[in-house]
Amino acid sequence: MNQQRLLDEILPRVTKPGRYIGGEWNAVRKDWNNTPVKFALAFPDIYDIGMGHLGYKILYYILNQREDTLAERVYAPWTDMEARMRECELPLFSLETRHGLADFDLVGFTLQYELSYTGILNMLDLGGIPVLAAERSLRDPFVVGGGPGVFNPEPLAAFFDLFVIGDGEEAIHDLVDLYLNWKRNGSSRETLLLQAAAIPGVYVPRFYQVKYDETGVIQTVTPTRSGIPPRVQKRVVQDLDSAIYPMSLVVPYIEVVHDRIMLEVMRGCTRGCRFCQAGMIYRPVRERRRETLLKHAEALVKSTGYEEISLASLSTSDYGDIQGLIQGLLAKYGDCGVALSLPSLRLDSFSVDLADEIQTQRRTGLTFAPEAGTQRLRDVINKNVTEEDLLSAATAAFKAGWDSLKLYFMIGLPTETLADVAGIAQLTRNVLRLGREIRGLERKAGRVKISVSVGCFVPKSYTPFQWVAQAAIEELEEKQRYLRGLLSDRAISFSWTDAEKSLLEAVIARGDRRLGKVLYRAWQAGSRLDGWSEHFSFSLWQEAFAAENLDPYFYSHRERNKGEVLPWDHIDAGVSKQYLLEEWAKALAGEVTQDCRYDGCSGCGLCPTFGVKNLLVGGGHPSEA
Amino acid sequence: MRLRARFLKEDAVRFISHLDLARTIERAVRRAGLPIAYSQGFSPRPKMAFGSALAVGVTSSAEYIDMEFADEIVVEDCLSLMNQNLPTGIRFKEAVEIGPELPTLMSVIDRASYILTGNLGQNQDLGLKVQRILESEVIWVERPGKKQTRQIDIRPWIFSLEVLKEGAGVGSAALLVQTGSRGNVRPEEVAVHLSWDITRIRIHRSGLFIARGSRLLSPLDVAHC
Repeated sequence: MNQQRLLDEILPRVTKPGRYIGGEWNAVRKDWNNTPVKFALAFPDIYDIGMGHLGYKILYYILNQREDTLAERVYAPWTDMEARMRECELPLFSLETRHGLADFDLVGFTLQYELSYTGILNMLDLGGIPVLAAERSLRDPFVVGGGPGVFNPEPLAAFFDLFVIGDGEEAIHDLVDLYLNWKRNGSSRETLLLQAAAIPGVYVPRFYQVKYDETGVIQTVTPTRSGIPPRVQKRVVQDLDSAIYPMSLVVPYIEVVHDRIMLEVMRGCTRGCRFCQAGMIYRPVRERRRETLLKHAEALVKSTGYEEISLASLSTSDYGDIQGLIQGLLAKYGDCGVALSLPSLRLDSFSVDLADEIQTQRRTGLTFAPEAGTQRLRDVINKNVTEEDLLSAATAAFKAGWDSLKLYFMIGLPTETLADVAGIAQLTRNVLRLGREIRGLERKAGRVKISVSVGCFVPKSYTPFQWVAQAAIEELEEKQRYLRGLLSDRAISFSWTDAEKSLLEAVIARGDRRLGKVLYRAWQAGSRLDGWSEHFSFSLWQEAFAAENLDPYFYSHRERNKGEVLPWDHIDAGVSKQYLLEEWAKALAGEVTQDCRYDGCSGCGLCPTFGVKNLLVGGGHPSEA
Repeated sequence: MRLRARFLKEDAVRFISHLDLARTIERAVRRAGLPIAYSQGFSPRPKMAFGSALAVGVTSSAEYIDMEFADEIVVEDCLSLMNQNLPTGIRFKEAVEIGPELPTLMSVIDRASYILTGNLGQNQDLGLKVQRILESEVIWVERPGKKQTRQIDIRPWIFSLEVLKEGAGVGSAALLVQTGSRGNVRPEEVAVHLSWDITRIRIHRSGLFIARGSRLLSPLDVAHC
């Protein structure tokens, strides 16, 4: 049976068939036979999640701008669709031209979340590509990884041909150029990989050998060929302002996350929160100019018809020209049904004023992230906000008419005690009391609602906490129970993340190559879409660890020696180990580090080593303007 | 000014829901740069209203929409601008200007016609099954309600059913039923009574009407009255 007839049979029987149909506005369909390079952008989660990913919007546009290249999208099927596809032997296909994954030359996966990794294995298998890189032949595509997960790619080393470390805008061209050249000369896979390893930012795991000592700690990681760099430096697009940005976006039919125009106002964050990997790996801060952003917005509103523009970045209230940008956008779109939104709010009344100005978020409530319940612990993690900051932000929000606020915290942070956990409840109750007082003036005290969302801390590579032991499951669950007791109140809703999931995330985030076998086994036993609670099975993972004779706590719960070779040491994120060690020492001493955007260099080492610098559009602190 | 248009929902988009379709058209209107009017209030919505929602998987050559514009526009321009900005599978076919007082599509549409097509499977006699339905005095169907499943007799709402084609294992039938708030028949309910596996047949909506005595008027016809 042909593919169309199969889909006609299958799609009426699966949930949300709109995930699999393609044909959306701005989807790019090129002439398959006459385009030399075919690049699949595969996302290891379902369409509804993957369509919200900004990185792929950028790469899709860049690749399709090239005449010699086509880029198509591939997402993981939901389990009902997968079952039908396997039943009918229908290979995983791209949405644009419905070619099987194995028909592409290059297959990219973005590594956004550790619990999506078995999904990658599953997609390769469903697409008819050998799951193990070593088993691929000349017929098979090259499997390429990118995204934040490459700052410890080791658990995936066996499945990927190469990884691109850092910003992809320029590196992707280098890779496609190399591929074209290689294809013309018709040489072996290894030839391409050797040449790829010479591209700055490209890491080819098979050319490195890892040696372990008898306790399982890494002794050495060494290149096995001459010319292979001992450390791979991340790519940095220094001039983000003139870097290419998509002038059109695929507009989905069905509802997806972040279904709006994402205007990337800047990349990087220098606040230096010690738990935050994104804050370390995306340095330096590079802001786009207002005129550039207004141009992007104009093109995107025109080409997509979207009704909302989101000002995207790690910390949008820090953007140097935020007021100018918002005024510019409101002046242009305020009257034609296009709303603005801010995804991340800094904890101060300035940010609340911004949110009030653009108004659209009143529907959903405002989110603040104090992260920890006491000043002591906030100093440890370098979250440079005080209780007064939170209370003044909350005051501003209640006065401006918001009834509900969402607060985000973590438990299991280094040095945390029960007093810090109790601090979360205390802070929440202070905010609630404030809300009732202020909203009470309008007789709306009864409407005040505080949602408290508490995640489990997961130590990540390239952060000052990369050496620390994650709290044990029992301890995390005990603290969750304790908090639940303290927060029982009709006006407070409390949610928390699964400690077992957080453990697995921590294991993979700081794992080594030996974990590849565990991933493989867990996938074969049925693990996929593990980010979805209905599919996550911890016992299945426990069995996989046991079968491979590996202890998950070795990875999650063991404090590393300062001198230990870490599995990701040969990947260079720019921030120096010396800086991270100093930050860890300062954390233990409760000392804070200032933001290098405002207060001078904090010595992370990135700028001098990479020859880059922060690119700021404004002058000083925007709230002082 | 107000405009009423007929459009198609073809194969390429048959798996998107009514809400998805509405959003897609809204965004096409914005891309087209048409001066759609917005509702007042905290979150302004474009003033657009549809006829009767189409089930996921069903194609149609008779979808209707009313749109209100803040400025005067030329009907032909609107059609061509919309079609330049709509994805494959949604096509605006015709439109007329309507008066501000004309009742909404939703409040007047009360008839829908469908064409059902599919493999008959073994030993099926479509003609006989159609006959049996027409001869029945009651046809009970189950509808899941908020609290419990309700039994409903849909026979009074089936106005015509005839075999269009039968042979070589494939058949098709045309169906005219009541639709709207005063009684509604889903085409798949009739298909089940024809012993058709509803995941294997294709359903196409061929018309939406307003019954005036024994005549059926299209929503564009009533715009002229």
